[in-house]
Amino acid sequence: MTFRSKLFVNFMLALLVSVALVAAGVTIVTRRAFAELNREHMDALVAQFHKEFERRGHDVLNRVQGIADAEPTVRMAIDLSRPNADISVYVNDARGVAQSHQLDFLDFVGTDGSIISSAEWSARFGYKMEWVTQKEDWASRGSFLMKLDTQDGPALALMAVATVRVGDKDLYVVGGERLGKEFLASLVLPSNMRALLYLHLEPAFQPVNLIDSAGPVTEAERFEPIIERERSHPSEQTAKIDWTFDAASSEIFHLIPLLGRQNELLGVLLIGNSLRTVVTLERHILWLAIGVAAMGLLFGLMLSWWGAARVTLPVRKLAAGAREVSDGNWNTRVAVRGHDEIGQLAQSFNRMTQQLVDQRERLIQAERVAAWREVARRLAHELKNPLFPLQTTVENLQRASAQNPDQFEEVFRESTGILLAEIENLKIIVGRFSDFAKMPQPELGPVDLNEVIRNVVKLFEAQFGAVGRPPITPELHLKENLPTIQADTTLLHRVIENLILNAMDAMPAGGILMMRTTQENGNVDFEISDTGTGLTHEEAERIFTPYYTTKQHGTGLGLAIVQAIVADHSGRISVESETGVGTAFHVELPIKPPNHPATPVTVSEEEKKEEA
Amino acid sequence: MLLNALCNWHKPMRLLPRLFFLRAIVALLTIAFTVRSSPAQSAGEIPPEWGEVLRSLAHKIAAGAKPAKTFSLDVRNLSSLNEGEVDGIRQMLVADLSSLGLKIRMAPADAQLQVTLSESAHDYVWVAEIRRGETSDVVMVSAERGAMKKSSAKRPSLTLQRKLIWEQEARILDFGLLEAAAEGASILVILEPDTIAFYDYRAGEWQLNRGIDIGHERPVQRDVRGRIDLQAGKAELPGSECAGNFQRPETVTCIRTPATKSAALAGVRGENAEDRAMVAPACGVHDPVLISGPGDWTEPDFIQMYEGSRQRGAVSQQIQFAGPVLALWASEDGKTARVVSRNLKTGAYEASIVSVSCGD
Amino acid sequence: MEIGATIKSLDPSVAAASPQEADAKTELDALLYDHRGEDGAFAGTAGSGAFRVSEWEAGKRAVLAANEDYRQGRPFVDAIEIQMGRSAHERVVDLELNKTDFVQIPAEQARQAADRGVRVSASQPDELLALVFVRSRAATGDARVREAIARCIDRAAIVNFILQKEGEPAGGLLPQWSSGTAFLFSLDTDAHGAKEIRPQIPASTKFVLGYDSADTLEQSVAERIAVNAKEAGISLASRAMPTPGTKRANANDSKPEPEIHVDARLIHLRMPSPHPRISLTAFINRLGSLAGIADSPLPESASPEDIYYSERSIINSGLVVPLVWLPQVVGLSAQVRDWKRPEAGQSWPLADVWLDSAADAR
Repeated sequence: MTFRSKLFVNFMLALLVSVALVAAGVTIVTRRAFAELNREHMDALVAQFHKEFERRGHDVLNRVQGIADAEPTVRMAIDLSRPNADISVYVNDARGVAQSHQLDFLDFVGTDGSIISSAEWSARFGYKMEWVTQKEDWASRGSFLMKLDTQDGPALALMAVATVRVGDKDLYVVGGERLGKEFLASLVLPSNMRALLYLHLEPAFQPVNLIDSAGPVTEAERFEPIIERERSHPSEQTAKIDWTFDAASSEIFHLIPLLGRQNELLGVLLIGNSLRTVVTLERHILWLAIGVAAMGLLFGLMLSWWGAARVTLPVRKLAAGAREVSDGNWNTRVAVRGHDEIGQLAQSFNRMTQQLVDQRERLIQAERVAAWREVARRLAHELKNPLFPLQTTVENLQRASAQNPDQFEEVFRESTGILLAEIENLKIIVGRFSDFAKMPQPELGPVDLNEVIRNVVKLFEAQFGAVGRPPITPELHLKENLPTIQADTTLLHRVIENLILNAMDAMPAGGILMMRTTQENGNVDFEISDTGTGLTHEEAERIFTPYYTTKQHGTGLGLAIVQAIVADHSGRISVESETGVGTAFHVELPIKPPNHPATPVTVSEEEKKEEA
Repeated sequence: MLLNALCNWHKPMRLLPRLFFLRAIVALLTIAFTVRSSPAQSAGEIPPEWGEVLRSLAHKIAAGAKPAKTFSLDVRNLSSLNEGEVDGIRQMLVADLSSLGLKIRMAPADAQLQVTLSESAHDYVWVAEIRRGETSDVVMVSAERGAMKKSSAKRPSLTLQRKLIWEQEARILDFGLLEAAAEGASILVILEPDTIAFYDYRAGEWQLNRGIDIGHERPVQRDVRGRIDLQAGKAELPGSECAGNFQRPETVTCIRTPATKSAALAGVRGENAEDRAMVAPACGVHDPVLISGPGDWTEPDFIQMYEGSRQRGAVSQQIQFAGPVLALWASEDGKTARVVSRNLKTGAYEASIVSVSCGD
Repeated sequence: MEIGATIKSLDPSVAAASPQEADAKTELDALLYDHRGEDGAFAGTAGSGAFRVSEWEAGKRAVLAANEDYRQGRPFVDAIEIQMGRSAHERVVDLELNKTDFVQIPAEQARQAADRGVRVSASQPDELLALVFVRSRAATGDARVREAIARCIDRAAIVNFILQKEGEPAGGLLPQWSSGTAFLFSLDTDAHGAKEIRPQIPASTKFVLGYDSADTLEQSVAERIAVNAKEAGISLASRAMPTPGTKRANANDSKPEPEIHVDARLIHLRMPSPHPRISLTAFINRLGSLAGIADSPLPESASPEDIYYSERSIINSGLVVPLVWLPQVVGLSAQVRDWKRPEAGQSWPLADVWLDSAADAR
């Protein structure tokens, strides 16, 4: 993964984590805020209900007391207190009074508990309402909830009782309002809330007794468990109903028990809060967060990519420069502006490459000088050998001519022979130098390296088993289907020859000559190893230097030629050797050489170990 | 002349030109009651044809009562038969039953015999219920009402008429009209809380003859009642009594009396109790009672005749008053009633006589 | 004059849509026809009576002019203007405001009207309000059911409270003044007995008692009976039934009116004659179609005992439960004179009354 990619990924991760944390935080905070808001709404509504209930109770009480205090009622009480009072006169009075005072229920009850007149159920006159005559201070009792028998069945009502006392007789005014959907309609509720009322009029749960402001509630059976719980333990509690699998359909209900005079449960008020808005809002926020996160990520992606690119550009330039340098293009400059660390690094790099170039120039110069000196030394050395006999021969001739003229012809014949031989030697030496100097450019074409190896090995088969010398066993481990490479067959032939010759020279006592071909990383690898005397470290360092040789004979140009040819093929050659064990040469040749053939890199043993 | 008096009866008496009309009206009412009174059947006289009917009833009872031999007998009358007739029927029935071997005795008896003397639209219907334990049998006979044709269904309707006698600003507790000993003179006695006044009718109007203070030891109660008894010549109030010869007002004196003596006049404090006056049977109504309305002293009132009680239903129309009826007393002859009321519009107290006539 | 019912037609061949219209029509016929038989049927031609129709707006208004040639003498009044279909309250108010001289007043409102100062005249009770069990209903086919319901009815409360004492409790089909044997029929309420019978009735049985939706008295009585039944443990509900002949709320509505099934209903039976035989026969004819009562017709020579036993057999069947006797109550203005209360079967004596224009209206 490139530095840019790593940087980009890190940026993205950081962004992602940040966005996720923010989104999660927002969601949690939002959820808590909504939950708190809901609680506050609910509490407000519950308080409103209690207040409304109390207000209604006071209102009912006031109206009932107003009826009791009214003159017609007092006169009724006075009239009824007489012996043999005719109560039939008043049997229809309650209805009109109830209507004028907007009461749903109104009964005038005599001192013995008999109903004198009933507004809601006028036919009940004469029947007893005994609970009214129980010893109770109705004035201080205030209003209370009660279950009433009506013509249409039991009903729940908010009732109050007022007493008109005349002498030792009482006239009770029992009035109240029905607690039903009209009461629910009077509650002011937010749009996501609703109020239900369960009228506990029968021992078992009756779905039809659960009503809202419009009438019986649909799916009332779903409320049975929470109503039953409330019935068993009347108290304010909260319950949740999940209408469907969708969380948005859930509804939280706050249950308020409605108790009667003797603390019996008469009804349950359920204030429901739909979670739809909250859940929908949360979902909106979540989707918004996701959208923002996605957009943020996308934006971050682009920004990170650009930022990483921008941040890593100087680094990449540095890296590219370093690669150029490693590829041998030491004259690399990195164009990085800025005064930060990257800028400083770039400046340092540029200075370094400049120094490298300078040093290389100096080194090249020095190497050139050294090479020229070496060539001169070698040339001097090579030339000196034939030149000395030449000189001696000529001197002999001079002496002969001077001293032994009669032997001059013989001496001349001998001396000319020696002169010609040494001149031939000189010509060979000059020819070798000439060959090295004017190495031809390779003519690339598809080459089967295995085939070239086999051909060369075939040429040396006779020599491997030559009489008079210890045998050399060739071992070929050539990869099947080795791809063809772009190479010059002749030059490759020469490379392999030189390497084989070198290996044979290293095994005077015979041995094994192994040759292997492999393919790796777009290159074709050729290895030739022997079990000869091996090289020391210093020898391995200089083995490819022209005219350097460890042999008694030879020009020392063979491996230099090999190196030059390999380099011309954009490959590289390396050597591994161990004294007394053997030596192995590795040649890497690209399957498809680059456009610009580079100076072959000679990798020493240490560098190979480091890479490994 | 009499007809005019009848048409003009609603005008206050003190405006009537002549005493003659007063006498004529009273006489007419008396005659009317006399004419419409009960038939001339004396108690104990049973029409012969009823005997046959009773014997038939006795036979039916005997047939239905077997094997019971002794009975307890109860006879009740739901018809227009008078007491004498009922007794006569009872006696005859017992005799008939005895002749058939059935004995009537007080409990214990083999069966209970409830005989009800009833009547239908056209006939008398006499019903015998024979009760033995849980079972009950019914037998009945019917007898034509014949010439008597007494039928509650055909009973003539009653009309009440009111005649205003006197009105004044001061409170009236009771009043009375006396026919004075002297020819052509009448005396109007007005009982007030503090005074008893005697008026003579002279020169076409009532003129005060004498007013006698009624001394009270203590202030009179707010709802004081008083009553005049013309026959006895006295007037009573709580704590006081005036007595003497009302024909000669100068002989009348007032004394204080113990409060318990006039308990009947105590009334009900502060409450306008229902006033009622029993009058003589008339127009086929056996126990007519005049009852005032149930209103209080702030409302107009009325008087209506009922048979025995309000529950049994009215038998006349209502006589309306412009204010509350404060006192309602039957007159001495039982044929009329004295009414004291107050006119809420004028504030005056009015003394009226309510009379009964048959027909509308 | 104001009457509660609307009379669509005076044609004798056109049947009245409701019992109220039939009664009102009878009253008018009595003014238009000279002779009425003992059985209540009118004879002769319309207009032979004390009055003749001079103006007629069916269901709304009519004017009857005095028949100058009336055999029994021209009536004292010149004409009678009749307003039909006004409510009881409106009628009483009109009377109080002197807009009318004569109005029909429901019996249960008579006392209230009298308390307000209205001049009220009530006849002898001649109209029976009874509870009749519908013969086609299985729920009340059981005699025990009928007995239980009958036992729990509190007639005294109906008379004293609902009728405000303008009426009498009824134990038999004929009033005491007519038959003389009404006292033999029990008026007692036996709620305890009803409760004892109750366990014999299937617990889930619910009964429906129907009443005329336009009749407030029937409604009050039906509701009271429902309360009585409830105290005895019998589930009985009162239900309003449309008055026969009333129009639909929407005349164009082609949807058939839902049939209302009741197990029993309240009916009014007005005596056509004071004679018990005639009235009982008329009642049996009326009840026959409703309750399936079939009884041999009473001969003309039927004795009170025969009439009683016929009456007793009907009562014992339990198919009819007499409740109360109602009088005919009218309100009169102060100007009306010589008003005689009519007997059962007799019509309003409008031919005999006269108006005293000088009378105070109080």
